[in-house]
Amino acid sequence: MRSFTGSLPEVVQSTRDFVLRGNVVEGLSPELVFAIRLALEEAVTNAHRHGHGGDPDLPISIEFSRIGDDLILEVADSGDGFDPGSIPDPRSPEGLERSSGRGLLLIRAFMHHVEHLDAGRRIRMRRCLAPAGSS
Amino acid sequence: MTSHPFDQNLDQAIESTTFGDVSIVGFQTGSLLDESLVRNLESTALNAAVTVDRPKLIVDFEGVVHLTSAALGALLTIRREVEGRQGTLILTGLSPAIDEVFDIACLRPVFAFAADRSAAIDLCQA
Repeated sequence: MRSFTGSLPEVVQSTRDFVLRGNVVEGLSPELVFAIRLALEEAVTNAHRHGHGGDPDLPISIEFSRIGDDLILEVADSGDGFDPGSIPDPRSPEGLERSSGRGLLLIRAFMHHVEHLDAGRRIRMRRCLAPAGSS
Repeated sequence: MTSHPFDQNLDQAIESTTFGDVSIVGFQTGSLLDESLVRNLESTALNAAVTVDRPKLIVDFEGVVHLTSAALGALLTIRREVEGRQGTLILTGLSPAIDEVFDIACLRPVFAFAADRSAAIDLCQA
């Protein structure tokens, strides 16, 4: 596990380096790398922007591991937490025009399982790395 | 010293060109359309859109290997500005992965798309 502080672009860059330059994505297809990178950056952005209100001094923790064919990725902040059920659907007619609020939707679409822990301060995401249909 | 593929020079990552009265915003090969670059995209595109009435703007995603929801938000902001001036915004050059992001977000009906830059120019000039 590692913690990162700084502006949002700095933290996004640092966490991207931490996860994607390790051997965890070695040999993965560009589509899988795209999905993992997107989920990571959306989760980090949510933690920084919403969890910490943009405060660059509060640390965002990243943890990842490969268990069998699964990649487990966790992002945690130290904010007040949130109720995931309270987030409006960005695909609703009024949501479509909004400039923000699509991060969780994309995370849920590109990862195979998503859990919100610690009252919404921690998100745990799982993505199976095996090709679809393989045993 | 070689750069890592996840590195990018933000100053050089976006190119803005014109074709007649059409403004085209494009990207360097391998661009990561993340929080940092989204700000450049929004300012570059809005600069092109606000200088004329009925702006014709193309955002060409050729070369973009990654984007986040921040890019979708920026594109919606750009669209509002362009449509507020009775202009035209066309998106083109989307990879299958980026295409999927638009589908997931249900934004396909919101934007106009073209198969390539040439088709986008034709649409703008129609």
